[in-house]
Amino acid sequence: MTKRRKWTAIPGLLALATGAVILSAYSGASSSQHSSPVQPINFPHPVHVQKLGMNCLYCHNAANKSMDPGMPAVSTCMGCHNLIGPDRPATDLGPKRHSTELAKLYKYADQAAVGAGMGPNAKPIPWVRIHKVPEYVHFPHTRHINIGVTCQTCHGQVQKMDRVYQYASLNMGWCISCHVNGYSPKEGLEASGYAPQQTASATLASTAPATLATAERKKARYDCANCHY
Amino acid sequence: MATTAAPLPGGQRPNIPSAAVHFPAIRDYEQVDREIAGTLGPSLGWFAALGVAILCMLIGALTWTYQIHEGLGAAGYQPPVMWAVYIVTFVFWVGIGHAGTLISAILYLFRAGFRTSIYRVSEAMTVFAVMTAGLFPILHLGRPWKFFYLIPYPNWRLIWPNPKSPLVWDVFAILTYLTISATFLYVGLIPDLAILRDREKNPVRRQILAQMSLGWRNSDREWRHFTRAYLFLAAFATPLVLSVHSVVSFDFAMALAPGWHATVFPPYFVAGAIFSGIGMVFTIVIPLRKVFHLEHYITLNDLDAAAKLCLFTSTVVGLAYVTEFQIAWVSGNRFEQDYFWNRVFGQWAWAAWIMLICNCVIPLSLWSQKLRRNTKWLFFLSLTTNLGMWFERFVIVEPSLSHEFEPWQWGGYRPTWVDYCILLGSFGWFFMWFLLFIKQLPVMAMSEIKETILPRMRHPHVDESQELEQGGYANQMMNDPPLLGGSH
Amino acid sequence: MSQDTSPTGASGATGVKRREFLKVLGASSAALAVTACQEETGKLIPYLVSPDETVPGVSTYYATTCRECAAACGIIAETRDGRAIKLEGNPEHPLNRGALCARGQSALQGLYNPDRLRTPLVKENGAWKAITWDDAIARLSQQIGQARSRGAAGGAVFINQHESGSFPRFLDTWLAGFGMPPHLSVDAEAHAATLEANRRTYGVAWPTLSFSDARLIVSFGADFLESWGASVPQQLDFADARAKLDGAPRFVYIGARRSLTGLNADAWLACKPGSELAIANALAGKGSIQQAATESGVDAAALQQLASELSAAKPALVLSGVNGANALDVALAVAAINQASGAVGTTIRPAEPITAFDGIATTGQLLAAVERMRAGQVGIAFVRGANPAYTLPKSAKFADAFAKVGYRVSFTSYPDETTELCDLVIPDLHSLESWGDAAPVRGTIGLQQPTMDPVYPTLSKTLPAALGTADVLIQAAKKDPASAARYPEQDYRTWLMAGFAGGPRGFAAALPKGIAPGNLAPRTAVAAPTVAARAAAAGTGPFTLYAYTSPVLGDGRGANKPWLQELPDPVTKVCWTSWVEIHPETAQRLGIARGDILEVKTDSGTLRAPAFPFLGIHKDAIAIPTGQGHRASAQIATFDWKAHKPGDLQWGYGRYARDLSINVLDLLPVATDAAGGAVLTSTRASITNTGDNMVLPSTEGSARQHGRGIAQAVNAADLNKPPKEEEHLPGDASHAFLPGLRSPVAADAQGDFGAPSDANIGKNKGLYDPNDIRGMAKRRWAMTIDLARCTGCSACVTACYAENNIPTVGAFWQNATIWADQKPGLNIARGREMNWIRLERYFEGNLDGKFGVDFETRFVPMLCQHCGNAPCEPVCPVYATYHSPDGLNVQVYNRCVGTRYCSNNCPYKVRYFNWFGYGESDRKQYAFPEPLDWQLNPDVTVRGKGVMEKCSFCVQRIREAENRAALEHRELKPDEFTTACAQACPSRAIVWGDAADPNWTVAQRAQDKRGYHVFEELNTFTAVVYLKKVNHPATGAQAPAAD
Repeated sequence: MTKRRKWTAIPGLLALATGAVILSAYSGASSSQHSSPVQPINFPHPVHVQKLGMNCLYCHNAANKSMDPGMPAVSTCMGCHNLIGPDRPATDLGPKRHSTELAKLYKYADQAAVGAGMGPNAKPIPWVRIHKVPEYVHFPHTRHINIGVTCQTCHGQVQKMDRVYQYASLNMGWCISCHVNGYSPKEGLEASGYAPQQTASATLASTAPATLATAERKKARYDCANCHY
Repeated sequence: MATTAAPLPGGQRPNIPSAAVHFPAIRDYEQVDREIAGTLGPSLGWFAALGVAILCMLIGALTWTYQIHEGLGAAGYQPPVMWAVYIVTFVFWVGIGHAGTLISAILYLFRAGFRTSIYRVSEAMTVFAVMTAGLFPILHLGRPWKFFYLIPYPNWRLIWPNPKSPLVWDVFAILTYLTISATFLYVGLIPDLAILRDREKNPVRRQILAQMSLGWRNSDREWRHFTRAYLFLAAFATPLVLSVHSVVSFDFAMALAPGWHATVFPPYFVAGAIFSGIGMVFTIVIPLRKVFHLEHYITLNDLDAAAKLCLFTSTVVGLAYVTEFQIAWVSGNRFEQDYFWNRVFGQWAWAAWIMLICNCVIPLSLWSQKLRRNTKWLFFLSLTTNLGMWFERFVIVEPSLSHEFEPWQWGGYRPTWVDYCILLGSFGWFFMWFLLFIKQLPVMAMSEIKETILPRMRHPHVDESQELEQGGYANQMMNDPPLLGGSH
Repeated sequence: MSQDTSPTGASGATGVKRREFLKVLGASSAALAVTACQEETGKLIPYLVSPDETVPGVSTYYATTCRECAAACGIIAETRDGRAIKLEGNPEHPLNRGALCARGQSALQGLYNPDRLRTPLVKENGAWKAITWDDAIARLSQQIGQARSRGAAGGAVFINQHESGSFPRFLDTWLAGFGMPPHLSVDAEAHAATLEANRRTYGVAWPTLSFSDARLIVSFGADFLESWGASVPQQLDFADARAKLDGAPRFVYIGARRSLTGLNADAWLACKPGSELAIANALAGKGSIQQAATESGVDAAALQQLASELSAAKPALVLSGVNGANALDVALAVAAINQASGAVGTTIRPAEPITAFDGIATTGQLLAAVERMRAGQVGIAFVRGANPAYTLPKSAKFADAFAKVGYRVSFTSYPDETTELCDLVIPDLHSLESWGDAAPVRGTIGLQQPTMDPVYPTLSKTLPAALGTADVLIQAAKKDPASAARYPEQDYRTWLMAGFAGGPRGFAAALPKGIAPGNLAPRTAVAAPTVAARAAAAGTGPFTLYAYTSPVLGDGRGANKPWLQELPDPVTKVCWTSWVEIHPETAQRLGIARGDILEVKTDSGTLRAPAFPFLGIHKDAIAIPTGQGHRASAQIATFDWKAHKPGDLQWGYGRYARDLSINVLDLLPVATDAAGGAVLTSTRASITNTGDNMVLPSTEGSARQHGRGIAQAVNAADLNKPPKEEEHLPGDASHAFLPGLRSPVAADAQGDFGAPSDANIGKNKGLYDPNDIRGMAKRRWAMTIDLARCTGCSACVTACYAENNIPTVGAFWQNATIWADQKPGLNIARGREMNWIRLERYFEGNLDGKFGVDFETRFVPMLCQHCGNAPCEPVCPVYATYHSPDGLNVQVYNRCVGTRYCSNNCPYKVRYFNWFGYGESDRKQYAFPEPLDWQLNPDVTVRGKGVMEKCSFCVQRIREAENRAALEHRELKPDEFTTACAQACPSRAIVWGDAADPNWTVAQRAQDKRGYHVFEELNTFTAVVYLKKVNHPATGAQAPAAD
């Protein structure tokens, strides 16, 4: 009697549990976080940012003045790589070597040799998109960059990624929590992975590093129409 | 459990022409078990009926798939008429769902004897009707695949449903009602399930029934707990009868539209719900007692009593109609007045008059006892009642939306085949469940019927052909010398 | 900007790649935005060479010239990532001063029309064949050579859609180079009689008309708000005149049909068609009032009064736009009146003429050319833009005559009727893709520059990517040794700049403004053979057929643009079809109901169209608009755009225009007035009721207000009387009128708005109070709409469609698939139109079956009122609609589940539901088949099926301005930006802004004593304040009750 009553309850409980799981899975709790697709050209951020000290905005040049950060035009790449070809001669930088990635770049740019310039049949590079919010979300990079939010806060320390992956979940809750609790320049600075004196150059913080560390949290409006319209 | 009204002195019962009843219709427990359990088990006609029901259900399902694929425009919506057949049918089925709980819970608390024979059927009807109604709020959504936005659960968006919206109240009201009435039905079933278990030969079915009856062993202790639980559930379900349909009525009463924005709605809706519910009970029970030969269980007395309830609620509904008009008249609110004129004498006259005739005129015939005890008439009346009550909801929804504040946006409405098919599908869905029910589980509470039979009655020599439709358990007593004589 | 940095210059070499890149963007912006949940992450295609000016995601603006009608208004094209996405009026331009009409707005849908011809075509033994551009030009020059060798050059005919500017001159010299006569510059919308009368009387084709200086305006069928003259400037000026309120001129309209212009008049004299002359003479004193009254059927007293008013009011402005056989006589008589009344120089200013209409060839001249064709005297014919096969009456038998021409070349990008008759088709560039100039008014040159690379470039190795007709002509000339020398320039742009005063440098310097001072060299005087009037028997029949130019579709060239098809006619509110207007009394007599299919019969033909009973038509007349009834020569199977392959030829002027209803011109005989203008209103017709009926695709519910005070009016005389207590429905508390700020925000932030004491007024701002602890927002976005200015032209509606990616739903394939009758406009007939802002047209007076002429019309632009206490908000179960702190009533598409409860609860019925997947590119009902989707505004979500949408007060513009301000570390400047509707409004009736900040215009306007809220008694506290219309009843006469 008692025994029986106990295990008659089990199926019900199981049903409830599965229901809850399915619902939460179906309702978008999932995310493409950590996804790291293979790019047409394996662009080494570390080399460009850390070794050569290039600013994010050199290539993503619209990030501080547009909704859209902008992807570098092939001509931008070729600005330097017109002279830096796939085949590196032996220099004091290192031994002679051949870079397959740069070879790919030259193919896209339809460039025959170093210094030759782009050819007539150049094609844009079809980068695979990693950080993507749905079309009904309007995310103004300019507002965030100009308020001093470090790129790394949302994109992770790309300067250390050999292959870029989606750092944040980009779920709505993730956005909201920052708008509600506010952005802490201090944490942003820590997230950027740079020492204060480097910060200004590397992440375009609008305020000086010193004040960054002490500034209080910046809150933002979080009603729907801020991003959804 | 349910008790029986004591016979009047002289053995006379009200409303029963003193037909000479020679033999009691129901004599002993064994007969109850035999006859009622005998209704179980599939038959050819049953398969045919079930087939039809499932076919209708499939038509509805396919149409819904088409509508989801094509967009809600496949249905006949004509802005500003943004709600149409689906909401109408939703309210209709919720209304149907009310009679069940009323009969099983409220009448139980009021000790109304006539409920005993019909409450199981109407309670099952309730559960299935609410299951049907529950489909429509999802079915009428523009994006049904997002229905879960209405359910409060912790989510990644950190947002919740709007507690101010009557539609959210609906979600809670309907789910609560479904849970309670389902539980109530099941608890009532337990002793009967035990009976079936004991009669079952097939080990598998026997095992299943054993599980379902929670190992009922008919002990006094079990009965004591059982009656307490049943009483508690009845008390628990009673307020729901009033609350659920009040909440449904808020969908309209809380809105601004002329014809909707009225405080009379909750009582009006509850009365209407009971009215339509009784109507559906007749629609189901009258054929049922014929097909299953249960005339001596579901007696004319029971139908008669139910018919009185039907008459009463119909007058209440009629009063509500009058009140609406009177409010519009005295309010001096131009929007309200225009709307009501347009409803009854304007573009919607046809619907309004179907409603008035079916709900207020035809039921008046029930003042006559002859008609109350005439099953054919009752059956016809039940059909008109269902029709009328469907149109009542139609008349509430469409004319208001088509004739609101902004004259430039006045419009009309014509359903398309999609609306009709989904309406048909809802009936198929309902009757599919009901048909499955009546062949698996007893349509009448055997244990309760037994309570109405006085114990230790033996009639070895009776041939059953002489059982009469009229009468019922009460007549047994005066025709039972041993009992009257008091000695053996 | 220098010429090298114009989009063409910037990416000439990489145009093709740019296009691929744009396609990708187009696809992604049109992606099924709302229902996207975890959609696959797409590709990021960057520029190949980034153009200097464009920042991805930031708009670039180019000033250019609108070519949708002859007037040539100045426009500013907003381009995003190399695509033009929105057109707005150029504020610097003297003609339209920043306003733009619906037709101008929809130039974009001409640019991105899915049925544009992509490549040159040649007809070989009846079948069309696509050829390369090089081949096409070779064939062209070869044909010209042959024509010249045959000596047929002299007989050549070049029919060009009229446009002012240098191109006509260029064309004439080019033609002359091959010994061909000057071209015919035709415009079926031009009003020949008026032009002729103006030339004779004032010496200019079109003097500037000053409505605001007039004391009285009298119009003889001159529809100056629609199709007569340059409508936008006229409308601007007329609105300014009306804005003088009690000082405004009274406006009397005389004609057989009360057009949109007529509906804006204070009084209408409904005269028999053709009797205008008698009235004009009577007013001029050349005839007796009594005789005019008998002849015209107008009440003599009314005429008498008008005469006295006319003599009293100086200066007056009398206009004539009659299209009858005696049009010229009327025009001259009217001109005489003006001269007598001393209007010349005050209200009519020949000194500052509008030059856009100079050199228009009349229909008479065109017909003469057609006769020459018929006589076989034409060896080769060219058509550019014009569509004579459609705009000439069928009885002119243009097709037969055209068939007799040796070789026919069409320079057109649209598969219209005339093009289908040609042998060689060389697509033209759209005006937004090409260089040019215009002469709108004397002393100003309008400049036209490409706003983007051509949608369909010439994929040619040897030719430039962008090749307009002028460029083609130059290329052809270069191929010809004789004339090659005359064209050193490699293309028309260089030719144009070389000829420009100040040269290329000056041209480039002027481009940013889009205008330059000075006058263009006139076209070499064309010895236009003045053609005598061609009379035609009026025929028999109880009615006069009154054909008129559609205010929306014009002479038919607008018919291939879904925005215009979907835009309800301002008068009848019918769209996607033609209709027959008939007086209600006549209809009653003949037992004709709205939508009954009538058979209209004249001596020239018979047509069937639905009836529309209309108060504003004379009892003896029936009216039919032009514009519809485009047909392909061969019947084309029912169109399904999903089966349709890009590049398929959609003859019959494209999928959106083909086989829609009737072309009224098929009913008319070939007749011209003395000035050579087509006669439209002098044919008799008979009608029979066929018995079938259709539900008219109309957005009109009830044309009456039923006393609900939606459109309120006040008589000019009562303006300065102390305001009487607002009339309220019994039971509704009458509360003090508090515009704008009275509105509380969301219910949880309202504070006490129930019974605000006077002390609270303006103080209790709820969330709007900058110091309010709850308040993030200091602003209350609000709008005022001045009904005294609004003319009901509906430009705001199309502007809204363009700005907010609103789908058009009327095409016949946009209904449900199975068992749905596929009728054009069926969705509209079902009330499923999506116009976020709509123009309601209410009639006043003439109630209870009285059908007099004395009725008043009130136009109300109705849009989301952004209620402070919005009924839609509490009922939404999922917060998909809520109140933003800055006072917007917001709709969140991606949260909406589609219960539609909000719409049920909206008293204004301004919420619109996506019944089908209009925004889903894989659906049959898709509203933006490529390349229409290139126009989609990237800042606005494209809605998927099953969600509610509505006016957002252009929230995307607010956010963009806020972002810009934040970038520049400043606050928003007053009137810094505005909504699309307010920006476009040619009457300046709509003002939008922050009502919480007194420096914004809207805050001041909202205080106007004429202000009121619609349905104020519902306590919705709307953010839209309407200013009452002002009526000018005749002295002594009583205007319709102002409710």
